[in-house]
Amino acid sequence: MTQRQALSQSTGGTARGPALALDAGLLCILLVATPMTGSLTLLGETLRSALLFLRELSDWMTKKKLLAGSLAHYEFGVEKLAQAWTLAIALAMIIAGLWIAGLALDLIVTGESQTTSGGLALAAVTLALVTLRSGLQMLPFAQPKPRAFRFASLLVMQSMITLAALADDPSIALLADSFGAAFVALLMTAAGARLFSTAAVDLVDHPLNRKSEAYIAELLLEAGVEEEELLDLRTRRSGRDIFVELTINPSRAGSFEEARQRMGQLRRALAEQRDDLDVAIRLRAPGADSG
Amino acid sequence: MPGPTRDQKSKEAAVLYTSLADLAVVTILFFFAVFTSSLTLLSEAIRVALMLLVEFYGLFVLRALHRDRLRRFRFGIGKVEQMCNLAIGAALLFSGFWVAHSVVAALLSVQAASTPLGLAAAAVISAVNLLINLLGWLAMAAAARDGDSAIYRAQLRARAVKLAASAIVQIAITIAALAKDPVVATLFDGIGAAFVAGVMVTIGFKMVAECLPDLLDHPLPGETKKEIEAALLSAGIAGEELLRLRTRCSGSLPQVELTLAPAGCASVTDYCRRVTAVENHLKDHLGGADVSVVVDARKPAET
Repeated sequence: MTQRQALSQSTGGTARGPALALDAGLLCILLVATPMTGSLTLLGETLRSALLFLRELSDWMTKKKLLAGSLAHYEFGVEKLAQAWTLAIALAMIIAGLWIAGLALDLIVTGESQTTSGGLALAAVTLALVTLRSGLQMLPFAQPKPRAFRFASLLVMQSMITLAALADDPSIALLADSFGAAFVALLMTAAGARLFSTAAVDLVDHPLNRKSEAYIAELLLEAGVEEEELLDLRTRRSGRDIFVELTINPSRAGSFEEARQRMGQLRRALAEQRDDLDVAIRLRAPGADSG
Repeated sequence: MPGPTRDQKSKEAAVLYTSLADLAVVTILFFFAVFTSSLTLLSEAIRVALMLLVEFYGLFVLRALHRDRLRRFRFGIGKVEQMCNLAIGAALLFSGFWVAHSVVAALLSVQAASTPLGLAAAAVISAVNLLINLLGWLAMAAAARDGDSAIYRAQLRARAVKLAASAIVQIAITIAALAKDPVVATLFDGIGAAFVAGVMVTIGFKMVAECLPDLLDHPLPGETKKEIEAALLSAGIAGEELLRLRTRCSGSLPQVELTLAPAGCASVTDYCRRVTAVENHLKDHLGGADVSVVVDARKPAET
């Protein structure tokens, strides 16, 4: 499989385009409806949906651009670019989460809501569309955990906003809307913090953890590299890519060509095990290191 | 594990004491915010607290750097330093927009200037803040040396911005407090805040723009690549022997990965001797860059 084919598969081929278009349409409905409803829960969900959509869109566009070759000048891949974008989205999520939490607190303290029963009903219907879309995405069962979690969280918000819309007492409606908003604020802040920590670690050339490095050492052993041959192992993460630099003592090989061929086999053996490895091999005689 | 030098300790102390002084200001702000139930004061306290978080993060990384606790970052700590710069730059940007938003909100609400007593109190608090920033900047500038880490330079820069901003605010708020005409008072209050916002956004944007390319593994500029090729030529590597050149930057340290197929190396000993010489030559030429010459381990078809 060529790099281009692999990339095309990872972008989901052409299938991701319509799904993104559908999400964009739903986001437009949310953006139009939210100011009309005055519901804080819906405002929070609109912000969350917008940020998640931006993340999906940037991921898709980066891969499209990579496929078209316009990002080829990034010689070490574009994963850091994706991580920087994730970092920005994560920060926006944290800030938006804190802002919504502040508004929810203000609403509870002052008790001054700008929404009406009609507005809450509209909010419930709009949110139902988002929940329905998320539910349909769940239809091929055994979906990844994040998708199931999003659906479950939307159900909680849907119950809150429906309660607010159906409540006769305005104070109950206000409380239900505030709790829904506080819930979405909590989700956004937590998701933002989690994304932030992952992206920040990847951006700073963090090495792999001991377990992963031990796994690579094991792979090397399986590929026939003895422990005393491995002079140095440097690793770093860059999004989904793992960069590994091996310094190997080639004393077992007689000629350079023999050593080169052996390193070629080693590289292929590692690539067969993990396709996200970018392996660079240095050959050095012990004690003749540079610097 | 080696401990920090005297010079490094004085830098840490300068950053720590100014951060603690800032912490005292934040505590007072929070106290007054709760005491007066002022949401504006509370939001200002949150903004300063966010900036303070970044300051403490910078201090934490600086201490780790001085105590050699970042040795496990085998590709250097340039990116960690740049991440600190990014955090400080982003915090300045965020604060700048926050202040600008407050100015616009105040103008739109057509509120009269604060009461004379309020402005007088603000002038006193602002003077305390100016004094803290001045003392902090003096302490940090005195501890600064050539070749300081990027984190320390960024902290010093941020402190200089804060000092300049607080000096302008002090002038504007003093005029506003002394002015008898409420329109003049409002005008100077607004001018001071707008100037601070402008400075913060400009410097913040500059800091973010400077460190982003490094964090993204952007390749080195074309002229540096030409320098590398020239250095390779002077080290005796012909153009056709260089199969691939990948570059990126980690802070001030360029990282260069060369895939070479050196001609005339029959034995591995010859190969090792030659590539070690090339690596050393390039390192000397590029001011201690991280240079790796890797073996061409691809299949003939791939090459």
